[in-house]
Amino acid sequence: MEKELFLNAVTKMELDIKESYRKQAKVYPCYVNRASEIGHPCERFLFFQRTEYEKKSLPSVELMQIFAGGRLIEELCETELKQAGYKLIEGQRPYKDDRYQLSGHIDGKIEIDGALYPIEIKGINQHDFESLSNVNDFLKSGKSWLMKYPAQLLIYEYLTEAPAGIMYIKSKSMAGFKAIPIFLYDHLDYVESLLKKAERINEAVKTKTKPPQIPYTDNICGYCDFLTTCLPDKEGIELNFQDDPTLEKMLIRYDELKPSKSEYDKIDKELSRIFKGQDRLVIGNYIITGQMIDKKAYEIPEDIQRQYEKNKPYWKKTIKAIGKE
Amino acid sequence: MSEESLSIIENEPKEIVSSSMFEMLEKYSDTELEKLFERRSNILKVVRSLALKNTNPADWIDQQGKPYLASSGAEKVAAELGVSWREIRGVRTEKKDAKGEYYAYEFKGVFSFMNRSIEAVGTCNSRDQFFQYFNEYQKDENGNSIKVRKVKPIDEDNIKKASYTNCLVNGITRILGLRNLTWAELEKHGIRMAASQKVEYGKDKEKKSYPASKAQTDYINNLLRNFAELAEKDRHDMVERVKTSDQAKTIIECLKKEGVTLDEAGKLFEAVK
Repeated sequence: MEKELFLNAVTKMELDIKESYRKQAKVYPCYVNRASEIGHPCERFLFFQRTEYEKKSLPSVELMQIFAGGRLIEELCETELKQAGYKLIEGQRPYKDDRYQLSGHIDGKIEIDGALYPIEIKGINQHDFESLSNVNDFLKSGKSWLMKYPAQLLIYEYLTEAPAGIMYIKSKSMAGFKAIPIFLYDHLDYVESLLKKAERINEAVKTKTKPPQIPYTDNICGYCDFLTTCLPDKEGIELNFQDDPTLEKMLIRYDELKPSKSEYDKIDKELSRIFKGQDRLVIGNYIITGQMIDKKAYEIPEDIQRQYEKNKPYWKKTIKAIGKE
Repeated sequence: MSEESLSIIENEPKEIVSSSMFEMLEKYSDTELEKLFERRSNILKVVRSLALKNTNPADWIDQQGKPYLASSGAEKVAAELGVSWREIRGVRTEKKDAKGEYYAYEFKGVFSFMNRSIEAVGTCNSRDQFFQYFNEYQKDENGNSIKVRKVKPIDEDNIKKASYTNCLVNGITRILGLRNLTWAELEKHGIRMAASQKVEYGKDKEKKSYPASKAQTDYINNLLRNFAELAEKDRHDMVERVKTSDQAKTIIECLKKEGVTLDEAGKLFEAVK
């Protein structure tokens, strides 16, 4: 085959793959609160899921590929658990609670010391993977898709009456996994808030009353499938323009000296290394002296340090020059 | 602009003059107002620099030689500078003309920045060229691979989203004074036209010259190298044979240029073989 034809064939192959993903994209009706979604930070989104699911955007080709990757990761995790002697049972078994109109399909249950615990498997990008170790890390991530995960597992624990469950996360770069235990009784307040949220959604659906908009957040609203249905307002935090010639001069000088400062630090560090232990040395027009200084140091054992550890907030400033026209 | 040719419609926004602006006009003397406007003008220069600093070539689109901020860039800039928007509302309209029925979405919203508000509009319709066509590769009767333009089923949600996004982009760029920029201004901030996306319409698109691939260029160069290695007499004979033909002209024209387009590469293949 000529090179030109081969290049075209490869381009066609890429188009065919994308088209195949596009054809698979679907939006499913949703008549109840889903465990996988109840942790979403916006109640208006959850309301639209139930009342206007047909207006939901079809997942993009890129998102479809992410979903496909997620399914592969799930299979891989099942395999590695199986190889280690842990079999997943009751995979995709549905559970529901009619009172809260809440339902979900668990990834599976795993047997530990004769008891069964729900397990939820998630593929996560390497950056997020490194930052996630407990429920709070997920909730504080600010990313709606991560914020939903602990809620999903905790609702499964509630629905299956299990005291604990495992959040099994795997880095999408395949560089590791974390099995995070999540105890229902450590998060009863949160679970209660999720159940109350489910009640509010049910009431809003019944009375056809849209819950209020949340303040616009790029990581939530920017990714929302109902963005063009919700039409959220955005309250920007404006820059504060000030006229202060003295401060401006100081900033200009600061910017001018910055390269010299970093060069000075670099050379100073190098000279300290070279002249360590040397005294009364003359090089060119410079005399270098040195002496050993006794410096008091306190070596405190780590467990004692931890007793006195506390967060001390400080203000970190960043000064950047705006491009000049 | 006719309704049929819509892709990015730029309705003139109306300036919303707030009561505080009238108060300001009454409160300050002409000299003070002049100073205030000078300050505002300086601030807008800084805003422009800051906005450009926060974008990269992928955030800009070259549309018939002019740079337009894409939605990715507009949203970044809006977040950085703190542009607000409210009262976004959309309308779907069924339309009919000689070509048949179609529909359009129109979104409007109020955009605010530094005590100033404007209304901006964004539209998109089911005849928008970005959503109607895609290219498919097929073989012609001679077995050559050809690119065929095919009609794609329209996803209405895409039209709606594009209209909403156009409204945001129009509102953000107008309120920040990021319209009518030139590539020369952008290049001062490291945003090069060559690295940005390109959008061309109708006739311009047909005229577009795609560069030949590296493999194609290598192949041509190889054939030309063989030609150069021929004995002088053989070269003369060959040139004599082809000098009156279009093929010879093609070779000569292509050799004068630095790059060869896909179209020229096709002709060259035939000519140098």
